[in-house]
Amino acid sequence: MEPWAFLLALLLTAVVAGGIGAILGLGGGILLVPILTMFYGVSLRYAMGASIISVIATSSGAAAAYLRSGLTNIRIGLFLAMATVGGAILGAGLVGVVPERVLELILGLALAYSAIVTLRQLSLEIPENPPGDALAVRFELGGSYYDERLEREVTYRAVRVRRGFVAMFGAGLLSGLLGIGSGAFKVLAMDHFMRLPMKVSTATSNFMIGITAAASAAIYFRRGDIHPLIVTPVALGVIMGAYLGTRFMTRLRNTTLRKLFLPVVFYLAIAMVLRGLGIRWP
Amino acid sequence: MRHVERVVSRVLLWGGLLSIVAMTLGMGLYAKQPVGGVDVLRLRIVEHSVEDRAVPVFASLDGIAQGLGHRPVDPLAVTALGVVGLFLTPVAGVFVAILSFCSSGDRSYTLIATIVLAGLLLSFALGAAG
Repeated sequence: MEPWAFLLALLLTAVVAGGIGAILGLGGGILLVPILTMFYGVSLRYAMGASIISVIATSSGAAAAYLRSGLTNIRIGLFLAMATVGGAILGAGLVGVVPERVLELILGLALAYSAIVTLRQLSLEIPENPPGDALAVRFELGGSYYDERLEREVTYRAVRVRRGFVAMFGAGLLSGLLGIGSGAFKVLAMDHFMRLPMKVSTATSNFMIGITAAASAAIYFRRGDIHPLIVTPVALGVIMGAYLGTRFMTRLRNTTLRKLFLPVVFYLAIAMVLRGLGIRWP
Repeated sequence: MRHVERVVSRVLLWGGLLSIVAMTLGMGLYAKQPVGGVDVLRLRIVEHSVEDRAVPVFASLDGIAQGLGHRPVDPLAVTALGVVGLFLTPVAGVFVAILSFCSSGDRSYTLIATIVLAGLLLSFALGAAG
Protein backbone atom coordinates (compact mmCIF):
# COMPACT_ATOMS: atom_id res chain seq x y z
CA MET A 1 0.00 0.00 0.00
CA GLU A 2 1.28 3.49 -0.87
CA PRO A 3 2.06 5.69 2.16
CA TRP A 4 -0.71 8.19 1.45
CA ALA A 5 -3.21 5.41 0.76
CA PHE A 6 -2.15 3.91 4.08
CA LEU A 7 -2.79 7.20 5.89
CA LEU A 8 -6.16 7.59 4.15
CA ALA A 9 -7.12 4.03 5.16
CA LEU A 10 -6.14 4.84 8.76
CA LEU A 11 -8.31 7.97 8.62
CA LEU A 12 -11.37 6.13 7.29
CA THR A 13 -10.97 3.29 9.79
CA ALA A 14 -10.79 5.86 12.57
CA VAL A 15 -14.00 7.55 11.31
CA VAL A 16 -15.87 4.24 11.74
CA ALA A 17 -14.27 3.47 15.13
CA GLY A 18 -14.96 7.02 16.35
CA GLY A 19 -18.60 6.82 15.28
CA ILE A 20 -19.17 3.52 17.06
CA GLY A 21 -17.24 4.76 20.10
CA ALA A 22 -19.36 7.89 20.40
CA ILE A 23 -22.65 6.03 19.97
CA LEU A 24 -21.77 3.38 22.57
CA GLY A 25 -19.73 5.56 24.94
CA LEU A 26 -16.67 3.35 24.53
CA GLY A 27 -14.18 5.84 23.11
CA GLY A 28 -13.28 3.69 20.12
CA GLY A 29 -9.91 2.57 21.49
CA ILE A 30 -11.25 -0.90 22.09
CA LEU A 31 -11.66 -1.31 18.33
CA LEU A 32 -8.63 0.68 17.21
CA VAL A 33 -5.83 -1.18 18.98
CA PRO A 34 -6.58 -4.62 17.45
CA ILE A 35 -7.32 -3.10 14.01
CA LEU A 36 -4.11 -1.03 13.93
CA THR A 37 -1.93 -3.93 15.05
CA MET A 38 -3.57 -6.79 13.15
CA PHE A 39 -4.56 -5.14 9.86
CA TYR A 40 -2.10 -2.25 9.54
CA GLY A 41 1.02 -3.75 11.14
CA VAL A 42 1.45 -0.85 13.57
CA SER A 43 3.50 -1.78 16.64
CA LEU A 44 1.43 -2.32 19.80
CA ARG A 45 3.05 0.61 21.62
CA TYR A 46 2.21 3.09 18.86
CA ALA A 47 -1.26 1.59 18.44
CA MET A 48 -1.96 2.06 22.16
CA GLY A 49 -0.52 5.58 22.03
CA ALA A 50 -2.74 6.48 19.06
CA SER A 51 -5.70 4.82 20.77
CA ILE A 52 -5.39 6.74 24.03
CA ILE A 53 -5.14 10.06 22.14
CA SER A 54 -8.08 9.07 19.95
CA VAL A 55 -10.11 8.33 23.09
CA ILE A 56 -9.55 11.93 24.20
CA ALA A 57 -10.37 13.20 20.70
CA THR A 58 -13.62 11.20 20.67
CA SER A 59 -14.46 12.34 24.16
CA SER A 60 -13.80 16.03 23.40
CA GLY A 61 -15.83 15.96 20.20
CA ALA A 62 -18.69 13.84 21.52
CA ALA A 63 -18.83 15.33 25.02
CA ALA A 64 -19.01 18.89 23.61
CA ALA A 65 -22.03 17.88 21.49
CA TYR A 66 -23.70 15.82 24.24
CA LEU A 67 -23.22 18.63 26.79
CA ARG A 68 -25.04 21.02 24.46
CA SER A 69 -27.83 18.48 23.89
CA GLY A 70 -28.29 18.06 27.66
CA LEU A 71 -27.57 14.31 27.58
CA THR A 72 -24.28 14.51 29.51
CA ASN A 73 -24.81 15.00 33.22
CA ILE A 74 -21.70 16.92 34.24
CA ARG A 75 -22.43 16.54 37.97
CA ILE A 76 -22.72 12.77 37.74
CA GLY A 77 -19.63 12.71 35.51
CA LEU A 78 -17.46 14.72 37.92
CA PHE A 79 -18.81 12.93 41.01
CA LEU A 80 -17.91 9.54 39.51
CA ALA A 81 -14.65 10.84 38.02
CA MET A 82 -13.35 11.14 41.60
CA ALA A 83 -13.59 7.35 41.74
CA THR A 84 -12.19 6.63 38.27
CA VAL A 85 -9.23 9.00 38.58
CA GLY A 86 -8.43 7.63 42.07
CA GLY A 87 -8.69 4.09 40.74
CA ALA A 88 -6.53 4.93 37.71
CA ILE A 89 -3.76 6.36 39.90
CA LEU A 90 -3.81 3.28 42.15
CA GLY A 91 -3.95 1.01 39.07
CA ALA A 92 -0.96 2.71 37.45
CA GLY A 93 0.93 2.32 40.71
CA LEU A 94 0.10 -1.40 40.89
CA VAL A 95 1.39 -2.19 37.38
CA GLY A 96 3.75 -5.11 37.74
CA VAL A 97 2.49 -6.04 41.23
CA VAL A 98 -0.79 -7.75 40.35
CA PRO A 99 -0.48 -10.39 37.59
CA GLU A 100 -2.12 -9.06 34.44
CA ARG A 101 -3.79 -12.42 33.76
CA VAL A 102 -5.60 -12.38 37.10
CA LEU A 103 -6.95 -8.93 36.31
CA GLU A 104 -8.03 -9.91 32.83
CA LEU A 105 -9.89 -12.91 34.25
CA ILE A 106 -11.64 -10.78 36.87
CA LEU A 107 -12.49 -8.15 34.24
CA GLY A 108 -13.88 -10.82 31.90
CA LEU A 109 -16.05 -12.43 34.57
CA ALA A 110 -17.35 -9.06 35.77
CA LEU A 111 -18.20 -8.05 32.19
CA ALA A 112 -19.96 -11.39 31.58
CA TYR A 113 -22.04 -10.94 34.74
CA SER A 114 -22.97 -7.39 33.76
CA ALA A 115 -23.84 -8.48 30.22
CA ILE A 116 -26.20 -11.18 31.52
CA VAL A 117 -27.92 -8.70 33.83
CA THR A 118 -28.20 -6.17 30.97
CA LEU A 119 -29.71 -8.89 28.78
CA ARG A 120 -32.60 -9.17 31.25
CA GLN A 121 -33.24 -5.44 30.96
CA LEU A 122 -32.99 -5.40 27.19
CA SER A 123 -36.52 -4.20 26.57
CA LEU A 124 -36.46 -1.54 29.30
CA GLU A 125 -36.56 1.86 27.56
CA ILE A 126 -36.48 4.13 30.62
CA PRO A 127 -36.05 2.90 34.25
CA GLU A 128 -39.46 3.21 35.97
CA ASN A 129 -39.35 6.08 38.46
CA PRO A 130 -36.63 4.57 40.65
CA PRO A 131 -36.49 6.21 44.09
CA GLY A 132 -33.31 8.31 44.35
CA ASP A 133 -31.03 7.45 47.27
CA ALA A 134 -29.73 9.88 49.90
CA LEU A 135 -26.43 10.52 48.12
CA ALA A 136 -28.22 11.19 44.83
CA VAL A 137 -30.40 13.78 46.57
CA ARG A 138 -27.48 15.33 48.48
CA PHE A 139 -25.30 15.68 45.37
CA GLU A 140 -28.13 16.34 42.87
CA LEU A 141 -27.31 13.27 40.79
CA GLY A 142 -30.25 13.54 38.46
CA GLY A 143 -31.64 15.65 35.66
CA SER A 144 -33.74 15.60 32.54
CA TYR A 145 -33.34 15.64 28.78
CA TYR A 146 -35.58 15.84 25.75
CA ASP A 147 -35.67 12.45 24.03
CA GLU A 148 -36.01 13.01 20.27
CA ARG A 149 -36.99 9.39 19.65
CA LEU A 150 -39.68 9.29 22.36
CA GLU A 151 -40.64 12.92 21.70
CA ARG A 152 -40.90 13.76 25.40
CA GLU A 153 -38.89 15.10 28.33
CA VAL A 154 -37.29 12.28 30.36
CA THR A 155 -36.57 12.91 34.05
CA TYR A 156 -34.18 10.64 35.94
CA ARG A 157 -32.35 10.32 39.26
CA ALA A 158 -29.49 7.98 40.17
CA VAL A 159 -29.97 5.09 42.62
CA ARG A 160 -27.42 2.82 44.37
CA VAL A 161 -24.81 5.56 44.16
CA ARG A 162 -22.34 3.76 46.48
CA ARG A 163 -22.33 0.68 44.25
CA GLY A 164 -21.91 2.82 41.16
CA PHE A 165 -19.02 4.68 42.83
CA VAL A 166 -17.26 1.40 43.75
CA ALA A 167 -17.80 0.05 40.22
CA MET A 168 -16.30 3.26 38.82
CA PHE A 169 -13.29 2.92 41.12
CA GLY A 170 -12.87 -0.59 39.69
CA ALA A 171 -13.19 0.79 36.15
CA GLY A 172 -10.47 3.36 36.90
CA LEU A 173 -8.27 0.69 38.51
CA LEU A 174 -8.47 -1.49 35.40
CA SER A 175 -7.93 1.56 33.21
CA GLY A 176 -4.67 2.36 35.01
CA LEU A 177 -3.53 -1.27 35.13
CA LEU A 178 -4.41 -2.34 31.60
CA GLY A 179 -4.17 0.98 29.72
CA ILE A 180 -7.77 0.82 28.52
CA GLY A 181 -10.47 3.50 28.57
CA SER A 182 -12.88 1.06 30.30
CA GLY A 183 -15.84 2.89 28.78
CA ALA A 184 -17.84 -0.36 28.75
CA PHE A 185 -17.58 -0.57 32.56
CA LYS A 186 -18.50 3.07 32.98
CA VAL A 187 -21.64 2.67 30.88
CA LEU A 188 -22.58 -0.52 32.70
CA ALA A 189 -22.05 1.03 36.12
CA MET A 190 -24.38 3.92 35.27
CA ASP A 191 -26.93 1.88 33.33
CA HIS A 192 -27.02 -1.22 35.53
CA PHE A 193 -26.15 -0.07 39.07
CA MET A 194 -27.33 3.52 39.02
CA ARG A 195 -30.29 2.88 36.70
CA LEU A 196 -29.67 5.94 34.54
CA PRO A 197 -31.15 6.06 31.02
CA MET A 198 -28.79 4.43 28.51
CA LYS A 199 -28.36 7.65 26.54
CA VAL A 200 -27.35 9.57 29.67
CA SER A 201 -24.96 6.73 30.59
CA THR A 202 -23.22 6.68 27.21
CA ALA A 203 -23.05 10.49 26.93
CA THR A 204 -21.70 10.88 30.49
CA SER A 205 -19.26 8.02 29.86
CA ASN A 206 -17.93 9.91 26.82
CA PHE A 207 -17.24 12.94 29.04
CA MET A 208 -15.58 10.80 31.74
CA ILE A 209 -13.32 8.69 29.54
CA GLY A 210 -11.62 11.85 28.28
CA ILE A 211 -10.72 12.77 31.86
CA THR A 212 -9.50 9.25 32.69
CA ALA A 213 -7.59 8.91 29.41
CA ALA A 214 -5.87 12.30 29.91
CA ALA A 215 -4.21 10.88 33.03
CA SER A 216 -2.89 7.86 31.09
CA ALA A 217 -1.98 9.89 27.96
CA ALA A 218 0.65 11.90 29.83
CA ILE A 219 2.39 8.63 30.75
CA TYR A 220 2.26 7.36 27.15
CA PHE A 221 3.62 10.69 25.94
CA ARG A 222 6.55 10.58 28.36
CA ARG A 223 7.34 7.03 27.23
CA GLY A 224 7.54 8.21 23.59
CA ASP A 225 4.67 5.96 22.50
CA ILE A 226 2.74 8.65 20.62
CA HIS A 227 3.91 8.60 17.01
CA PRO A 228 2.94 11.93 15.39
CA LEU A 229 2.29 10.51 11.92
CA ILE A 230 0.08 7.67 13.14
CA VAL A 231 -1.83 9.57 15.79
CA THR A 232 -2.82 12.47 13.49
CA PRO A 233 -4.99 10.61 10.93
CA VAL A 234 -6.40 8.43 13.72
CA ALA A 235 -7.36 11.38 15.94
CA LEU A 236 -8.74 13.34 12.99
CA GLY A 237 -10.81 10.33 11.93
CA VAL A 238 -12.29 9.64 15.35
CA ILE A 239 -13.29 13.29 15.78
CA MET A 240 -15.13 13.15 12.45
CA GLY A 241 -16.68 9.81 13.40
CA ALA A 242 -17.67 11.07 16.85
CA TYR A 243 -19.42 14.08 15.29
CA LEU A 244 -21.44 11.83 12.99
CA GLY A 245 -22.08 9.32 15.79
CA THR A 246 -23.50 11.89 18.21
CA ARG A 247 -25.96 13.14 15.59
CA PHE A 248 -27.09 9.58 14.97
CA MET A 249 -27.33 8.50 18.62
CA THR A 250 -29.93 11.05 19.73
CA ARG A 251 -32.37 9.51 17.23
CA LEU A 252 -31.97 5.96 18.56
CA ARG A 253 -34.05 4.27 21.24
CA ASN A 254 -32.36 3.35 24.55
CA THR A 255 -33.28 -0.28 23.91
CA THR A 256 -31.63 -0.16 20.45
CA LEU A 257 -28.48 1.24 22.07
CA ARG A 258 -28.45 -1.66 24.54
CA LYS A 259 -28.83 -4.15 21.70
CA LEU A 260 -25.84 -2.57 19.93
CA PHE A 261 -23.81 -2.37 23.12
CA LEU A 262 -24.44 -5.91 24.38
CA PRO A 263 -22.56 -7.89 21.67
CA VAL A 264 -19.51 -5.66 22.27
CA VAL A 265 -19.64 -6.44 26.00
CA PHE A 266 -20.07 -10.19 25.36
CA TYR A 267 -17.16 -10.15 22.91
CA LEU A 268 -14.97 -8.33 25.43
CA ALA A 269 -16.00 -10.67 28.25
CA ILE A 270 -15.07 -13.78 26.23
CA ALA A 271 -11.81 -12.23 24.98
CA MET A 272 -10.82 -11.16 28.51
CA VAL A 273 -11.61 -14.52 30.13
CA LEU A 274 -9.64 -16.36 27.43
CA ARG A 275 -6.68 -13.99 27.81
CA GLY A 276 -6.87 -14.48 31.57
CA LEU A 277 -6.64 -18.23 30.97
CA GLY A 278 -3.60 -17.69 28.78
CA ILE A 279 -5.39 -18.10 25.43
CA ARG A 280 -4.70 -15.20 23.07
CA TRP A 281 -7.93 -14.40 21.24
CA PRO A 282 -8.15 -12.77 18.83
CA MET B 1 -28.38 24.53 29.15
CA ARG B 2 -26.74 25.76 32.34
CA HIS B 3 -23.62 27.95 32.44
CA VAL B 4 -21.29 25.13 33.47
CA GLU B 5 -22.36 22.84 30.60
CA ARG B 6 -22.00 25.71 28.14
CA VAL B 7 -18.46 26.71 29.15
CA VAL B 8 -17.17 23.14 29.48
CA SER B 9 -18.70 22.28 26.10
CA ARG B 10 -16.93 25.27 24.51
CA VAL B 11 -13.57 24.39 26.06
CA LEU B 12 -13.81 20.76 24.90
CA LEU B 13 -14.92 21.76 21.40
CA TRP B 14 -12.31 24.48 20.84
CA GLY B 15 -9.53 22.64 22.67
CA GLY B 16 -10.17 19.56 20.54
CA LEU B 17 -10.45 21.54 17.31
CA LEU B 18 -7.32 23.67 17.82
CA SER B 19 -5.31 20.61 18.82
CA ILE B 20 -6.45 18.71 15.73
CA VAL B 21 -5.68 21.73 13.51
CA ALA B 22 -2.12 21.88 14.96
CA MET B 23 -1.65 18.13 14.44
CA THR B 24 -2.91 18.29 10.85
CA LEU B 25 -0.87 21.42 10.08
CA GLY B 26 2.30 19.75 11.38
CA MET B 27 1.64 16.68 9.30
CA GLY B 28 1.00 18.76 6.19
CA LEU B 29 4.25 20.68 6.68
CA TYR B 30 6.09 17.40 7.22
CA ALA B 31 4.73 15.97 3.97
CA LYS B 32 5.95 19.08 2.10
CA GLN B 33 9.53 18.52 3.22
CA PRO B 34 11.88 17.71 0.32
CA VAL B 35 13.03 14.48 2.00
CA GLY B 36 9.60 12.90 1.53
CA GLY B 37 8.74 11.92 5.08
CA VAL B 38 5.99 9.45 4.27
CA ASP B 39 8.51 6.94 2.94
CA VAL B 40 10.15 7.09 6.33
CA LEU B 41 6.75 6.54 7.93
CA ARG B 42 6.39 3.22 6.15
CA LEU B 43 9.75 2.12 7.52
CA ARG B 44 8.86 3.26 11.01
CA ILE B 45 5.64 1.30 11.17
CA VAL B 46 7.23 -1.94 10.14
CA GLU B 47 10.48 -1.60 12.03
CA HIS B 48 9.66 -0.07 15.38
CA SER B 49 12.57 0.34 17.73
CA VAL B 50 13.37 3.08 20.21
CA GLU B 51 17.05 3.28 19.25
CA ASP B 52 16.45 3.64 15.53
CA ARG B 53 13.92 6.43 15.30
CA ALA B 54 13.81 7.76 11.77
CA VAL B 55 10.90 9.99 12.77
CA PRO B 56 11.36 12.01 15.98
CA VAL B 57 8.86 11.05 18.65
CA PHE B 58 8.57 13.89 21.12
CA ALA B 59 8.38 12.84 24.75
CA SER B 60 8.88 16.11 26.63
CA LEU B 61 7.72 19.71 26.55
CA ASP B 62 11.37 20.83 26.30
CA GLY B 63 11.79 18.77 23.14
CA ILE B 64 8.68 20.33 21.61
CA ALA B 65 9.86 23.85 22.56
CA GLN B 66 13.23 23.17 20.92
CA GLY B 67 11.53 21.89 17.78
CA LEU B 68 9.28 24.96 17.62
CA GLY B 69 12.25 27.29 18.21
CA HIS B 70 14.27 25.69 15.45
CA ARG B 71 14.40 27.47 12.04
CA PRO B 72 12.80 26.19 9.94
CA VAL B 73 10.27 24.99 12.52
CA ASP B 74 10.25 21.22 13.01
CA PRO B 75 6.79 20.28 11.64
CA LEU B 76 6.48 17.26 13.90
CA ALA B 77 6.98 19.54 16.92
CA VAL B 78 3.81 21.34 15.75
CA THR B 79 2.02 17.96 15.62
CA ALA B 80 3.35 17.06 19.09
CA LEU B 81 2.10 20.43 20.40
CA GLY B 82 -1.36 19.46 19.13
CA VAL B 83 -1.10 16.10 20.93
CA VAL B 84 -0.25 17.85 24.21
CA GLY B 85 -3.11 20.30 23.61
CA LEU B 86 -5.47 17.38 23.13
CA PHE B 87 -4.66 15.64 26.39
CA LEU B 88 -4.75 18.95 28.27
CA THR B 89 -8.24 19.70 26.88
CA PRO B 90 -10.19 17.56 29.43
CA VAL B 91 -8.01 19.06 32.18
CA ALA B 92 -8.97 22.55 30.98
CA GLY B 93 -12.61 21.40 30.93
CA VAL B 94 -12.44 20.39 34.59
CA PHE B 95 -10.68 23.67 35.43
CA VAL B 96 -13.39 25.85 33.87
CA ALA B 97 -16.02 23.67 35.59
CA ILE B 98 -14.38 24.59 38.93
CA LEU B 99 -14.53 28.30 38.05
CA SER B 100 -18.15 27.99 36.95
CA PHE B 101 -19.28 26.09 40.06
CA CYS B 102 -17.32 28.53 42.24
CA SER B 103 -18.91 31.59 40.62
CA SER B 104 -22.38 30.12 41.08
CA GLY B 105 -21.67 29.44 44.78
CA ASP B 106 -21.91 25.65 44.43
CA ARG B 107 -19.35 24.66 47.07
CA SER B 108 -19.95 20.90 46.87
CA TYR B 109 -19.18 20.69 43.17
CA THR B 110 -16.34 23.22 43.39
CA LEU B 111 -14.74 20.78 45.84
CA ILE B 112 -15.60 17.67 43.78
CA ALA B 113 -14.18 19.15 40.55
CA THR B 114 -11.07 20.33 42.46
CA ILE B 115 -10.52 16.77 43.75
CA VAL B 116 -10.76 15.48 40.15
CA LEU B 117 -8.30 18.14 38.94
CA ALA B 118 -5.90 17.36 41.80
CA GLY B 119 -6.06 13.66 40.86
CA LEU B 120 -5.25 14.50 37.24
CA LEU B 121 -2.32 16.72 38.21
CA LEU B 122 -1.04 13.99 40.54
CA SER B 123 -1.17 11.46 37.70
CA PHE B 124 0.74 13.90 35.45
CA ALA B 125 3.38 14.34 38.17
CA LEU B 126 3.67 10.55 38.57
CA GLY B 127 3.95 10.20 34.79
CA ALA B 128 6.72 12.82 34.65
CA ALA B 129 8.56 11.05 37.45
CA GLY B 130 8.48 7.89 35.34
